Amino acid sequence: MRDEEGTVIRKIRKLVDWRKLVLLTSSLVTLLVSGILVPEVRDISRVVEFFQSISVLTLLAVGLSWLYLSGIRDFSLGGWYLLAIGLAQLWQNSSWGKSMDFKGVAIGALLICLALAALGILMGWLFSKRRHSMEFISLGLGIFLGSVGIFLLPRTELWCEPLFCGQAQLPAAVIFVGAMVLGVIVSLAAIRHFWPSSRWLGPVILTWFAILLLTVSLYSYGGLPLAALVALVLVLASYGLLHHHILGRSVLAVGDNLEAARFNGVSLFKTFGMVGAIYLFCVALAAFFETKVGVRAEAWWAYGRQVDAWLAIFLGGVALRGGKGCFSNVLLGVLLVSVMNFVYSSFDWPMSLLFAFKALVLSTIIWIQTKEKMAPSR
Amino acid sequence: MLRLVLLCAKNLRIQKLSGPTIFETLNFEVQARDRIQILASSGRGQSLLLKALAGVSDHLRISGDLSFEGESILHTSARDRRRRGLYYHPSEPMVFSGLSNLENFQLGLSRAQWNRALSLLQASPCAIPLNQSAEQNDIRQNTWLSLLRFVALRPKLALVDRVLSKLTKDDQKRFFKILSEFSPESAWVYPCSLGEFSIFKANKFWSLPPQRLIEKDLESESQSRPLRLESIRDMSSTRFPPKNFQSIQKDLWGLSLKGDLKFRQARGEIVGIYAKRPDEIFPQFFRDDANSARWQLIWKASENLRLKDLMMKTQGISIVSGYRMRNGMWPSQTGRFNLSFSYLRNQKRSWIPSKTEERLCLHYQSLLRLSSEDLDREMRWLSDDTQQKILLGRALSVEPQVLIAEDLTRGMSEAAKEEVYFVIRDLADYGVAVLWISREAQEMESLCHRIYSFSEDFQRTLELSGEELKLENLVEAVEKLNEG
Repeated sequence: MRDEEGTVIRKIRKLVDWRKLVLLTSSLVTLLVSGILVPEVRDISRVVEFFQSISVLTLLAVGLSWLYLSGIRDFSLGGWYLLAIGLAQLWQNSSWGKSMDFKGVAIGALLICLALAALGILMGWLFSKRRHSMEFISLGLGIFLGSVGIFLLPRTELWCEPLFCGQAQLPAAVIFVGAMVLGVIVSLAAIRHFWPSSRWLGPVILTWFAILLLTVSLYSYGGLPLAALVALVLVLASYGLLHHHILGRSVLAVGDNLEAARFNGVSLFKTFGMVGAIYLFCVALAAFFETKVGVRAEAWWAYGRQVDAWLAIFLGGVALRGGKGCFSNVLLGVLLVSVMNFVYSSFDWPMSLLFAFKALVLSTIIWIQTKEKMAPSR
Repeated sequence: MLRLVLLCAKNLRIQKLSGPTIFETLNFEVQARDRIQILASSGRGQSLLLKALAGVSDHLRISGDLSFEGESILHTSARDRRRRGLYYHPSEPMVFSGLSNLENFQLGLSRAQWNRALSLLQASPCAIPLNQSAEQNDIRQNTWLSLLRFVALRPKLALVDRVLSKLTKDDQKRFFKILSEFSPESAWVYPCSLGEFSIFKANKFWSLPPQRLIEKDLESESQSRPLRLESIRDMSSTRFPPKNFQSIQKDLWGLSLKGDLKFRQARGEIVGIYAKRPDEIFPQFFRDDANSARWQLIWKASENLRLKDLMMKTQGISIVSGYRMRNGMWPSQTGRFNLSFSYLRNQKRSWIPSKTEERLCLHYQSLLRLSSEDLDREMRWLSDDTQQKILLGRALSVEPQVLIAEDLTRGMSEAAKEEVYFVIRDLADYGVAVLWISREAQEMESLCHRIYSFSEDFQRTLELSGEELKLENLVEAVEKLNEG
C-alpha cells in the first residue's frame, strides 16, 4: 500500500513541476484576491502598465539568468541599467536622434544594444581572467557605471514614450492568430517529444492557459506593447540556445563545474564573453522600454529592477552557484514578482515595506539554496 | 541425466501496467540444479523478469503460461510461490537495521533451517557477530548475512537479483562453493556482469535482446566448441569495438613526457603510472603555464605543448578522472548531458540535433551497460559505478587517440571494474594508447604493458616492463625508490 502511494507521488512529481505550479498558482491567486478586494486592480487601463513592467523585467531576468547559469555572481545589473538608460536618453536628445523616424530610432536602439553587447564581451573576458574575484569586480563595475548613469540622467529629457508605449502596439487580431499558431506548434512539439509518456500534458495545458489569459486581457484592452513581443521572442530564443545549442551546454557546464568544463576543452573567454554580450544586450533593450508616459526616469528604478530580477531568477530556480535553472521557470518568477509589484502599487502603502519583504524572500531563497543537499565529494 | 523441470514458461508476455511491453513471447525452462546467468545490458529488464517470475511486482501485466513443478502459478501470489519453493532475493541485502544479527538471521527460519544456518555461518569467510546490532554492520557483513539466510531457506528455485555484485570476486567464489555444498539441488537464476562471467559456474545463460530471451546451454556448447565470451557478447547485441572508432588514423603516433622521465607511447599500448597519490600526478600535465609544468608534452614533432592546447587543437586526447566531483562531472546535469557533451562539442553543427544525441546515448548505453533511467537522472544521485561509466563513455565518444585515465576505477565495485578493464583492453586492441594512472598495483599488473613510478619528490623514476612486470617486483621497487 505504502509502495503504491510512493509510486503515485513519484508519478505526480514526474508529471508536474512543483515549482511551476506554485509560482503560477500564487501569481493567479494574488491577482484574483486583490482583484476582488481592490477596485484599482480591476482597472483595465492598468493592463498596459502591467504588460510593460513584466516585459522589462523579463528582459532583465533573462539576461541575468544567463550570467548566473554560467556561474558568474553578478552585482552590476543596476549600474549597467542606469548607464543604458542614460545613454539612450542622451542619444535621443541629440539632434541626430531627434530627426529620425520610427525605423531610424529602432536602428539607433539596436546600435546602442550592440555597443553594450561589445562591452559585455569585454566584461566576460575580465571575468574569465579574474574569476576568483568576479563578485568584487561586478560590484565595483555596478557602482561606477551607476554613478555615470546618474550623472547622465538629470541632464536629459525623457524620450520614446510615444514610439514604444503608445503607437507601437500590435493589433489584437494579429496577436490572437499568432498565439494560436504558437500554441499549436508548442503542443505538437511537446506531444512528439514526450510521447508515449504523459508528460506532454503539462506544457500543453500551460500553453493554452496562457493563450486563454492573453485572449481575455486583449478583449478589453485591444493591443499588446511591443516590449512584450520582444521579451517573448527573447525568452524563446534563450530557451532554444540553452537547451538545443552548444553555447547553452557550455554555459551550464562552466556554471556547474568549471574545472570539468576546462578539461573538456570549453573556452572560458568565449563562454563568459557570449554570456556577457547577451546580458548587456538584454539590459540595453530593457532600458529602451523602461521609460513611461509622463514619468521621469529615476535612479532608484534601476536598483529596484535589480532586486526584482534577482528575486525572479532565484524564485525561478536558477542556482546561485550556477549550472542549474531554466527560462520557463524564470518567466513564472517574473510573473509572480510583477503581480506582487502591480498589486502593491494599488495600495497606498510605503514602498520601503515592499523592498523589505523582497529582501526577506531573497535572503530565504538564497539560504535554502545553500542548504540544498549536494552529493558527497568524490 | 534427466532432471526435474521446476519452472516452465510458454508464450509469456510481460508488460508494464502503464507502459510498453518488456518481453513479448518468452519460452524457457528451469530444471533442478540449474545455474542460470542472465547476461544483458542494464535496462533490459533483468530485475523485472525476476520480479515477474516471483510474483512480487504489482505493476506488471503478465499473460501466457507459467508453471512451477507442473502446476500453473500465473495467478498465484508471491507468498504462495514461496510456499512452493520459489524464492526471490532483491538487489539489496534483506537486513533490518533495528534488529541484531541473530534476530535477522532467525527471521522466518524453522528449527531445521536454523540449524543449517548455523553451520552455514561457520563456513562463511566473513565474521558476523551475532549479538551485534545490524546497524553496525558493513555492506559485506549485511550481504553475507542476507545470502546465508537465503541459502538456509533451501529454495527449490532461487531468483537472485544483483546483490552478488556487492561482494568481492573471492567472496563470490566462496559463496558459490558454499551454495554447491549446502544446497546442491536448488536451481539459481541471477543476473551478472561481463566481469563476473568467469566467476560463476553456470550451466546455462539467458541473454535479453529487446523484448526477447535467448537461452543458451553452456554444457552442450562447450562440448561442441570452446566457449568464447565474444559469442555471448554477440548475443546480447553489444558491439565491440564501438562503431565510431573506425575513423582512427592508422599511422604510428606518440606521446612523450619530457623532463625527469622520457617515454614514447605507441598506439595500442597501455602505459601505467603507479602512484600512491594519483591526484598529484595529473596536475603535472595540466598547467596553464607550459614552463612551470614539471613535465612537458610532445605531440608528434611539436614540443613544449600544454595539454590544454592538445585537447583543443588535435582533439586526440581524452581525459577521464576518478576525482569526479573535482574535475570530472557536472553534478547538477543529467547523465545524458554528461555523456554527450564532448561529442556534441566536437560536431561541426552548433545546434544540437536531438536524434544524434539519442543515438550516441543508446550506443554507450549498450556498450557500458547503462540504463536509460540512469541517463535521465542528475549525475549526483547516481552510483559511483554509473557515474564513472558515463564519464568513460564521454571520453570515448570523441574517438581519442590517447586516453588518460586518472585513478579511473576509484570507488568502483569489483564487477564494474572488470567491465572497465574489458573496455580498456578492447580500446588498446583497437589502437588507442592508454595512460593509466592508478594506485592499485594489482590492476596495473594485469592491465598495463609498461609501468612507471616516481619517488615522492618526483626526482627518481623506475620502469618495469616485460618479464619484470610482476606485482611483487613493483611493490618492492617502489619501496626502494621511496627509501632513496
